[in-house]
This record gives sequence, C-alpha cells and structure tokens, in this order.
Amino acid sequence: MIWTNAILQGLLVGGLYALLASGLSLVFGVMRIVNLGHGDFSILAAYLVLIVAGHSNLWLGTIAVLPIMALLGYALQRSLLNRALSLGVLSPLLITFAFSIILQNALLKIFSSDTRSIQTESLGSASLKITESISVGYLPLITFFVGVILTLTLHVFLTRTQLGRAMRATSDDPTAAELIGINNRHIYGLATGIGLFAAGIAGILFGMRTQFSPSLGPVALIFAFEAVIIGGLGSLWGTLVGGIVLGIGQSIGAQINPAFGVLAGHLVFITILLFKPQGLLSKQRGT
Amino acid sequence: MMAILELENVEAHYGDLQALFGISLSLQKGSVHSVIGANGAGKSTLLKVIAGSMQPTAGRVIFNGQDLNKVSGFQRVKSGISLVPEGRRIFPSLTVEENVKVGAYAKRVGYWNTDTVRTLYPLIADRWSRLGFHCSGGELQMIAIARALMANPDLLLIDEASLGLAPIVVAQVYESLSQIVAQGTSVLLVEQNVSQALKASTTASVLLEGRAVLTGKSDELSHEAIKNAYFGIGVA
Repeated sequence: MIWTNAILQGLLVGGLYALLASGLSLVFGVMRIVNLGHGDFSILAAYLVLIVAGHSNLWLGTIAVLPIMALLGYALQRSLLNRALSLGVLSPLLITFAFSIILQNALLKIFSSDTRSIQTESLGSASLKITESISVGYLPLITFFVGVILTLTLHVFLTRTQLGRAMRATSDDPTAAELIGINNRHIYGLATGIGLFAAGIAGILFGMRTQFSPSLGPVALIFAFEAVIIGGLGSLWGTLVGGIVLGIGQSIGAQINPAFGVLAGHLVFITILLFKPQGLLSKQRGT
Repeated sequence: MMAILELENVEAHYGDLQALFGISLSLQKGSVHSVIGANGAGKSTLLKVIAGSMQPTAGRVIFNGQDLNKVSGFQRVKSGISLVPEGRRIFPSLTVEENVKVGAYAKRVGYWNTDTVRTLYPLIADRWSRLGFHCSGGELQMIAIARALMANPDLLLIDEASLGLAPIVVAQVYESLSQIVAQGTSVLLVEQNVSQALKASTTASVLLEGRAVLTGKSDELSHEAIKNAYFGIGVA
C-alpha cells in the first residue's frame, strides 16, 4: 500500500513537471530553441500572482497574470529572440541564459531570498480520501488535470486549427512556410507566448503547493528539461509521459529514503538517456 | 491586355556573384509565360525575386500595378503571388490534407478549395491522410501545386514543373495547368524541358547566364533560335 501511494503521489507530481515542461517542449519543437529562462519565468509568474492577489484576490490574480506572461513571451520573441535566431544556434541560447540571470537577480532584489507561497486558504491542505491509508490532495489532483487538459488543448490546437497547422509547417520548413504566406516571426512569437503562458500556469500551481524563492528557477528548468528528454523531444504527449515518469521515479526514490527522491529522478533520466536516448514517445521523422 | 507582372531591369546577387543582369519581362493577365534555360542560368533566382524570398539589388518588380520592392515574401502571397518551389518543399510531418489546408493560410477567396483541388488531382485525394514524408515525387509536385492554389493566386510561379517526374506524371501536371489558367490565374513557368514548356505557354524567354537573350511568342520562336540562345551560340 505504501508503494501504491508512492506511485500515485508521484503521478500527481508528474503532472506538475509535465506542466512545467510543456511550454519548453513547444518552444523547442517549433524553433529548436531551449529556453534556459523557462523555470525562472514560471517563478516570476508565481511572484506576479503574489503581487496582484495582494490587491485583489487569488483567482483574479491568476487570470490577470497568465495573459501578461503570454504577452511577455510574444514581445521577447519579436524583439530579441527572432533577431538572435538569425545569428545561429548559440545566440538564442545565450539570450535565454541572460533572461534567467536577470530574472533571478531582479526577483532577489525585489522580494529578497525569503521563501514565499501563494495562500490558497483551505485548498492547500484539503484532500480526497481514497482508502484508509491513501489520500490525495485536491491541489495536486487539480494540477495533474490541468496538465492533462493543457496537453490535450495544445494537441487540438496544433492538429485541428489553421494556426496550429501553420505552426507545425513553420517548424518543418520555415522557408516553405513563408512561401504560403506565413509570417514566421509572428508564429515564433505566438509559440513563445504560449510557452510562457504554460510556464505561468505551472509556476502559479507550484507556488500554491509549496514554498518558492527566486533561486528555484534553474531547478524547475532541470526537472522540466528531464521530462522533455524522457518523453522525447518535440512530442507533447511524450512530455506529459516524461513528467509522470520523472515524478513517479522521484516519489519511489523518496519512499526508499527521503533524501533519495531527487537523485532517483535523475537516475531514471540517465537510464532512459542510456537505453532510449530518443525518448519514450519520440516521433521518428525525416529531415 | 493588361500586364499582371512587369520586371524592369532586375538584377540580383549572391554575395559578390551576380546572378541576374537587367532582366525585363512583361506577363499578360491570363497567359502562361515560360522561362527556359540551362542549369545556373538564373531561372530559380528570377522566381525567388518575384516571390520575395530574395531581394533584387537593382530594378523593380511590379505586380498588378504595385511596386513590390517593399513587400516581404509572406505578404506577397496575400497580394496574390504563390510559388511552387524547387524541390516542392512539402511539409514532411504534416499529412497531405494538412499540407493542402495550410496553403489557405493567406485567406484569399476564389475558385480553389479542398474540393476543387481534389478534383483537379484525384491522386492527392487518394493519399489524403498520408504523411508528406511518405509521398512520391509526382505526388509531391501535385501537392505543392495544390497547396499553392489554395491561396487562390492571381499569379502562380512554378519552378521546375517536370524535373525528376515520370512522363505520365509530367503529362498530368501540364494538363492541370490549362485548368488552372482557365480559372483566371496567370502562370510563370520555369523549365528545362524546352518542348514541354513551349507547348504549354503563350510566351517564352530564354535565360543565359543571368540575361534574357531571347523573348517571344512560344509558337513563333524557331527551334534554331532557341537552341542558339540556350547554349549561347553566336553570343560573344
């Protein structure tokens, strides 16, 4: 029963990792850019909610902050990253690294290194009792379902809408995409906008579940990145699966020894890199 | 008759290398013009300059009376120019259906839609849910034309319409051309296959090392004149 519980809790944590990773995965899939500031942007969203919620209420804060994140992503892409993309692979990577450093230090300056959390009143501790010895928190359950719904929504967007098709076409062949009238810069802007929107959702739910501080971004990035790699680069469903695998790995590790959780996650990641480096659900496709 | 496309002394460079030298050309509305020439004559460069994926270093491209020099490539689709590129460039991870549908991104209205292009190319309709990656050369060419038609262009540019295709597929592609023109689209065709190009077009130009050395009505150009122009015989 202990192990069932560990797997279940791991599954739910995995939903959070999948949320964190989906934006990273989308941006990488469309532009082949790894946003090294992705984790810091999610922490930024959590702090923004603290500010807005301080003046109004929590749900209004969340609703206000997510569009801000999306606009921020679009603006950063159109102003800085698009220009960097034309200079080669390294430039966008360095710029996102700069985002990471700037965000961490700005948050440190403004909010200090004290840990904070987003107060959710009763929701944070309420739980659903499944059996005598197993119960799951509402918040982890909500996080998990938000992760699944986000993945599903992105999937429908990419496969069923004209804009989504245009995004995949641009990912396949940007030059050919321009020839059918697609403005790649705009598409890239939208991809990063959606990416930071997703990072925002992840950061806010993370901030509700646990304590956070300005230095947490890189850790979040590593977990997200591992989830993407485990699932297979460029596959959104793979990212969801990758997040869950990582979460369960950490949870089982922590069950063996509480100090062993994060390490176990990394071991799962390395094992998969060794034996299935293309990821669990990677799409094999031609260049 | 009104010219849909006019080139005035267009020049283009790849770095220091000049690819086009003072090209002037006029294409009448509703006509088919073929550009013939050997490898490296500048045919594809010419199409890139018209489609906007390359900027001319001198001269003007005028489309429907509008100077296109400040209009970027993707906006030209919205203005009514579509290019079927060299190598077809079908999106490999999209299905045939998605490749065709995404062609309508510019939201221009007209005769062409998924139903009419499926009627034009029944072969595409058969492959509808296959990935672009898995399609054969002939299928790719038809998908590429269908994708370009979905933007309902006033001017369709086709680069190497018959290159690498089986004769029966070439015949199908050229047969479809007359149906495309019948819907009011003007066509600028780049070909290495001289006889095929002359048969399908009303006017033709021969490019030689970046210069238009011969231009005229397709049925009036003599075989001898074309041969001389193509190979540069009698040109200093």
